[in-house]
Amino acid sequence: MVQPEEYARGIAAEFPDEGGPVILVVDVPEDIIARAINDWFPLSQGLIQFDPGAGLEELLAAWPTLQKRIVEVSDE
Amino acid sequence: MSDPSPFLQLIRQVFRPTQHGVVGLVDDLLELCQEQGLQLDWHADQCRVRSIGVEPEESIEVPVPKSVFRAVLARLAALCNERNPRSVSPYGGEGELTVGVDPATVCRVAFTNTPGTQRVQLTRIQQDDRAGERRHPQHPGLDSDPRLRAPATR
Repeated sequence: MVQPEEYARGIAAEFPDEGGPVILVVDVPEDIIARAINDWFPLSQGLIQFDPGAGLEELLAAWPTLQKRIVEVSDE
Repeated sequence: MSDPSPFLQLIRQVFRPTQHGVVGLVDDLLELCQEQGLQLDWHADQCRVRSIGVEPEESIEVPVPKSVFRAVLARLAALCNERNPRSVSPYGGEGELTVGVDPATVCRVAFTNTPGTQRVQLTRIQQDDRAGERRHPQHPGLDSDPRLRAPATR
């Protein structure tokens, strides 16, 4: 299973001039998450996809107030 | 007007949303790859699916959101890397997946998943009769963990 750290390293390898791998952890309210849940992206799948008409607008509106933290990921 | 071919009917069926989400869609595509090669790309705001390696080649456009298509590509990338670590990047590459058990089939996956280009070609390489892989079958698209292995997009 690909862990977030490994995925972050993969992204960083593709974009070596962007400061290295990190994980941005965001606490998204459940009502916004609920808008993103559909047949293609059920919650059980473990991936939340915010699309236009499916939670993206609400996420953008709430973004400035959401709790966020950056988790450093070692380059390994 | 003639009835759609079995291939087109099958593709329509595969791309119907189910409770299994993108994971289920990838499972179904890999299962289909055991029968024949497929090429999928995002073209003119639609997902186009083509049969390859058969005559006549057929194609169909299926109503699926772009985010779903990109998630499919991300899932395939994660499965390739699960089988062979770091064999592909999230944005593209070529890898292999073993599908099914009896018989197992090795499928070649060649894909691009960038903001500008999204496509994948799934090609059956061989019916797997290698003893080692039979003893240790993999189910990259059919495993028990229903979660996606990687985020879909950057």
